[in-house]
Amino acid sequence: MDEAGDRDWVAELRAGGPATERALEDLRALFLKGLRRALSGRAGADGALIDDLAQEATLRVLDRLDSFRGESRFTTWATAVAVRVAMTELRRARWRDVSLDGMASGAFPGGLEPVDREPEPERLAVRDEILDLLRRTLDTELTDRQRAALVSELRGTPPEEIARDLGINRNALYKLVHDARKKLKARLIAAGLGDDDVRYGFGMASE
Amino acid sequence: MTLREEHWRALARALLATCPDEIDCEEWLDRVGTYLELVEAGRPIPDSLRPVAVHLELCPGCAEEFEAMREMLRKPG
Repeated sequence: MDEAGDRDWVAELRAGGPATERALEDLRALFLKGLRRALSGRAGADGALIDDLAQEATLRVLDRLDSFRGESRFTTWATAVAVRVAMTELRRARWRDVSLDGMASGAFPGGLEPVDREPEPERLAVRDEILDLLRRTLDTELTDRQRAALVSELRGTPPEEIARDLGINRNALYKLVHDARKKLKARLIAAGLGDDDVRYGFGMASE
Repeated sequence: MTLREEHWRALARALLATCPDEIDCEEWLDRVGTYLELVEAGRPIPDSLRPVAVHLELCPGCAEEFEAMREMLRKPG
């Protein structure tokens, strides 16, 4: 999408009249091309849907224009907005079509790493201590909403679906999960289990 | 509540990344452009963009979107 990088998109989109119409049409064409490439091979991403997504993304960029800080190229920022629009819709469609089991382990970064099935006894003891504390804290100290949000996220439920079930928006969902993680981490620290213990227990490399 | 071992492992990794100054998904979206351009250019990430990187580790939705953004910005080969 670099070909239009030097253009003053913000001025054109704010100008009104033919200049804005031309900028919107060009932006839509950029999105169409980029989304076709980025979404190719993804389930449900057919031509008609991508057309709709490009149109919706163009309007969303116009709505969010005030939040563009000018720190990146305009087209990079607009690409981020377009992808948010597109992926939100695709995840909804994918969630409708795929069973919970099919999604269960795929979404969380790092969630598909191989699991150490036979750790040495000392490592196993540390891991069991951590897991026991995490289970107890999850069951008894998190609120129902914190627990539901965190567990659903770990199982790979799309954020839009979790937020919808809980009647909140995606930002509020992030805050809910963040508060749950903070509580769990605080319990580990209070029990003398620091980051090094977590890395050791789960066989993760140090930073 | 049943979680499989890989879920606990993902939780452990998330707890390692958990910090007080995390940003939410909307702020991440507003700030990711600069981060994206630096990553694509292979340039170092300044400390001021660390919250963007941390959010990527913690948010599966934004992590998925980030990969699609990179694909969308990539010039056709």
